[in-house]
Amino acid sequence: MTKCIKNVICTFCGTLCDDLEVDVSDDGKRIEQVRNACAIGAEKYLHVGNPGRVVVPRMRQADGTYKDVSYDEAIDFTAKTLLKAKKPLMYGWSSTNCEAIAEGNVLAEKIGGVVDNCATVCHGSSLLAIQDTGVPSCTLGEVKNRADRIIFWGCNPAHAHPRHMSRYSIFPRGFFSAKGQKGRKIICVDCRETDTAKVADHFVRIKQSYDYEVFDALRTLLRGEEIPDEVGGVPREKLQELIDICKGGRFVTLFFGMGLTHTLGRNHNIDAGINFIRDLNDYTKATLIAMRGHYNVTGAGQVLGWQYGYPFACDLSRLTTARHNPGETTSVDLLVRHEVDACMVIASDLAAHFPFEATRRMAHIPTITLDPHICMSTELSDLHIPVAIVGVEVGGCCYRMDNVPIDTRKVIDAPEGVLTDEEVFQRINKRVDELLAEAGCKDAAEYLEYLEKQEA
Amino acid sequence: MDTVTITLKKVPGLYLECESVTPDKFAGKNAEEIAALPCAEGKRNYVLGDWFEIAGAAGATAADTKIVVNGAGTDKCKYIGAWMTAGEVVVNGTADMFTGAWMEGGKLTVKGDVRSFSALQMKGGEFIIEGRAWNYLAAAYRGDWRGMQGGTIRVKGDVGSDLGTFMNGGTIIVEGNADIHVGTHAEGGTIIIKGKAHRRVGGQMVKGEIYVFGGCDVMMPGFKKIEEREIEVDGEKHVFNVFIGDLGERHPKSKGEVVYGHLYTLKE
Amino acid sequence: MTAGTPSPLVNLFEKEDFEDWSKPHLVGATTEYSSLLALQAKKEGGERKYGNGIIVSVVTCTEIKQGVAIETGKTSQAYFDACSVIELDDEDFKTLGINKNTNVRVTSAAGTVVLKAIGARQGLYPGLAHIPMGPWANIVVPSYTYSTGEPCFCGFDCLIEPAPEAKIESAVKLMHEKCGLEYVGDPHYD
Repeated sequence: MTKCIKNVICTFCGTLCDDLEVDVSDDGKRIEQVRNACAIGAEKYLHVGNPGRVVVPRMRQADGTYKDVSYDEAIDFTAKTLLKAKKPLMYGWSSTNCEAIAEGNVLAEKIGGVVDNCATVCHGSSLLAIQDTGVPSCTLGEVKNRADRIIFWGCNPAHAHPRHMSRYSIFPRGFFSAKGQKGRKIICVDCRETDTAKVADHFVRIKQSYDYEVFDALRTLLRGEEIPDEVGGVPREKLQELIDICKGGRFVTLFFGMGLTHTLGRNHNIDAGINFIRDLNDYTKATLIAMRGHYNVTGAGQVLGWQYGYPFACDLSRLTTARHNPGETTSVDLLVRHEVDACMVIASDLAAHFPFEATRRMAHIPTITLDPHICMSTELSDLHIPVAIVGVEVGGCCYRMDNVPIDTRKVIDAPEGVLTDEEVFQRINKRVDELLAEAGCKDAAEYLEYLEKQEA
Repeated sequence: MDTVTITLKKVPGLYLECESVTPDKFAGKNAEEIAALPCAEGKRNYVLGDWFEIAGAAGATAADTKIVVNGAGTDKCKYIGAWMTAGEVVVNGTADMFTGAWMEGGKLTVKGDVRSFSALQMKGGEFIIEGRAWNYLAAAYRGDWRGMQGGTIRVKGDVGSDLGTFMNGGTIIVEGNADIHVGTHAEGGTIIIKGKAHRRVGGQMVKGEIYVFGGCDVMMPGFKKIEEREIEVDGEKHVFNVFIGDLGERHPKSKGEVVYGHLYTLKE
Repeated sequence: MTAGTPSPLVNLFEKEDFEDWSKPHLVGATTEYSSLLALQAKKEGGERKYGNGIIVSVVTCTEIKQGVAIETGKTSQAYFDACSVIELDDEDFKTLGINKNTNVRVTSAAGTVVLKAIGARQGLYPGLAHIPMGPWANIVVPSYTYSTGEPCFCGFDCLIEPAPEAKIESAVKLMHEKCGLEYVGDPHYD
């Protein structure tokens, strides 16, 4: 017999679908069947039972092979490595719950590290633009119930957020959008004709890296000024048509993704986009939402925001002040500039998703990775601490891409003995306190001087 | 003017944060007192004496103090001359980030390059860079809308991206080329680029002047040519194409006239 | 960068001492490299042709196949199949003179990697190529961030050369090799 758990929150992408049904074996240890999920979400739940799961921490030895160690040893190693480093980097956080992030930030403050989350290589530039110009945003519920003009700019929900279009943006029938797709006009702007572009009513292909110029042209047209015949490979008439469609709507929502944040100009592209939406509000209601990738990357920013005032790239190495300066305190720059001397990767895969120059630096400094699975980062780390999977084996608070907190649910038990992220951080915190007390030091800066004296 | 010469003893492993290296902090101190000023490498706190050989003594006030920074590894020192209000600093080599940031007066000379975020939100004084400058020269700090407000910067080499973002006043002269985003969101000030600017010059610009001698690779669509005029720039007289913009951005009115940003490119 | 890189262009960017990170990029790694490539191509008398290869602008994006494979496991065959490819426009296959599903060597300012060239799954235009996000793509992604923290994941120029005989390395082995670490294998997936 199996039992069915309803309304399970899918912890894969920033859409955080909350209507999954999962069939679990009687003993609560195996997942048998997943309904309502997309291909990725289903795989997320079904692969949990795959053989080869790591259930005890692994430490790399001199010859490159791994040796199993106890959690106690792993936690002691982590605490000592982080204390010994002058400026450790703690990167990741996007695939764990807010409780663990809060606990991890406490550790970061204690050891004087730099806390950075996946936004740094994802929507970090959007956050910069929001700091510069603000953001007229809304929730996905408003989009579903009100929006009649949807623009996808440099994002591809068909692939990255598979149920986004059916739950919120294109197909659903809402309170003021009873006609569903028929009542909406969908515009897709991209340099590739993506699968999202194929379901859009209007596809505007722009030349790669011309987003800023095209936004500027749209804003210029909106103010009734002249623009050249062609901007970024798009004829003027097409841009005018786009404006007319937007002006004709009752509620416009622009979704933007990596196509804007990763390309030339970065934060300036989003800045121009936000200002375009702001200008549109002279004619109709217009909003924009960032298509956040990982399911809790928004939460990582939220927690860091309420604890230290900055959403990402927060440098706590002064122990008493938090500093934030993307370009200096962001992970890629820190690693490439050789500005950090130890690294902790939490619930993220640095090695698979950072440019190689950064990964190479990470592989050559002491690195600890907290991840339920084997990934590129664990294979280049000195220590791999396995943890329970959030949203499958442990619940907790996560934030959807529109900054709505959703409490995720536990579906099955974690393998015996495997700790959660939160528990691991609690124990590292305890160990750090013990080490500081043993040495009679009040903070990590003093502890470094103590270590130097010991060595001398 | 009294000169203090500080020489790095060894290259920092990470980066040294030397916000103490300004005439303001040095003023009225002898070599020993200067050696006791704080600096930091990551979370480890040091004093300047741990890293620098210090010779000479400072003058009574900042204006009477000149600091010369020597030694291999100056490119691993951040915040040299930051928040300085008077006096002189010379770096014989490359300096790292935040060199001359929030500077209010005095003279700062760097013989090599400066890295990103130098002269951030500069308010006054003179800043000479003999090498190249990296990104965000004279820009605003993250989230701030007040960039450079006064003073003069002269760069002998190229500059990186985001030159003079949110600029409000002052003058920047670049003798080499510039990368993307020059004077974005500018609301005043003058940028002179003797070489070529790559792309996105004057995007979202409200007010201010940008001269580009070598032209832009791609022109912003929001700029409109209004005339050709002979103008004297940095001691040279040329005929320029005059553009107004960014027409996509808001523009204030002054005495009933709309105020635009101006972009000048050399007429062939 | 591995020894014996095929293109003389790469040597310009070969960092003899990678400890000195400041050497390569100032006015935009992508800009500098692009103009250099364009210049070389012009010398050869073509628009985008260089030697026996072509110059394309590359974007790296997520894909559903890659997303599913991430969940299956980063050491799985599915992940290898999803990510160790480069999508090219049909026109570019003609210019290169190769058939679809041929291995190619992709070189950027950051490095060199061997990938399988496949037809476009989502519409490209000639001169635009796509590599799914992952360890293979990141070998060629320039780490230059324009001081924003965001590296050049989209819109960097690459030289694509046919390399039918070259082998595509598995992800873990590739990372170890490029990092200068010895790869000893792992009982969890070998």
